[in-house]
Amino acid sequence: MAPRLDLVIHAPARLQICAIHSAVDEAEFAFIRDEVAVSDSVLSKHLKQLEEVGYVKARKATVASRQRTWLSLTRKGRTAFTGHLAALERLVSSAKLAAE
Amino acid sequence: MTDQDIDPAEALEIAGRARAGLAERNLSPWWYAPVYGAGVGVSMSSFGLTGFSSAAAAVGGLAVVLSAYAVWSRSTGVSVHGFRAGKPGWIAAGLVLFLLGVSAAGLWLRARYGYDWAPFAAAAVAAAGAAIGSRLWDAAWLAQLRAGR
Repeated sequence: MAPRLDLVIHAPARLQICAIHSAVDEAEFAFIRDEVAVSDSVLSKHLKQLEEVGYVKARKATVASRQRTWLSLTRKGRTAFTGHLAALERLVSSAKLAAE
Repeated sequence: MTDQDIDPAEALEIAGRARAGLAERNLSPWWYAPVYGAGVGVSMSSFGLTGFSSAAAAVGGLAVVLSAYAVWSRSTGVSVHGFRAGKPGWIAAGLVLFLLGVSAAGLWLRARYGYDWAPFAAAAVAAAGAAIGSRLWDAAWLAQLRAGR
């Protein structure tokens, strides 16, 4: 995976959303909201940005007449997140080398 | 935002903390492993049965396994597959091989020596192995999460 900073992912809330999704296959909207500690509307805004670039996809499921939204990282999103982390790690390593 | 605004160390910490935070949720309820093991055992007992009862055991056991997963996923709000990268994936693969080996041994003992109880004994061993395997998988996955990976 080529290291590549991704400014869509870099915002702290979106970074958390991607990090959580990288650890699971799917997560429910409410689960992500609680983990990121933001309101429904703020989370929706971040998810919309991730969906627009094709990093996250949503699936609606109705259980006991309640509709729930399940979210997952797309292959493109997973690749972008991995590349972003690799780029961050490279920057941290470079900074350490420069400090020595 | 420009590259100059980025604090890479802090960003890595945020990502690691987000993943580690998942491990603090109750993602490994006590009931899952025994129910999963029981489902696997019932399903594998179908090898010792014939006709309708064999099919009923196979389907019933599978239904228990799938229902347990569905209840777990709905109650936790996450969904994960067993064959994840790293140790959890190896545990899942090992469990599959173990179950295949145990079921083959049960069938072989019945075919070779006429031990009709062998497939049931194999199913009991498989049930215990599946429950232990499930616990080991959970522990490996949670360790991965705690490590922020």
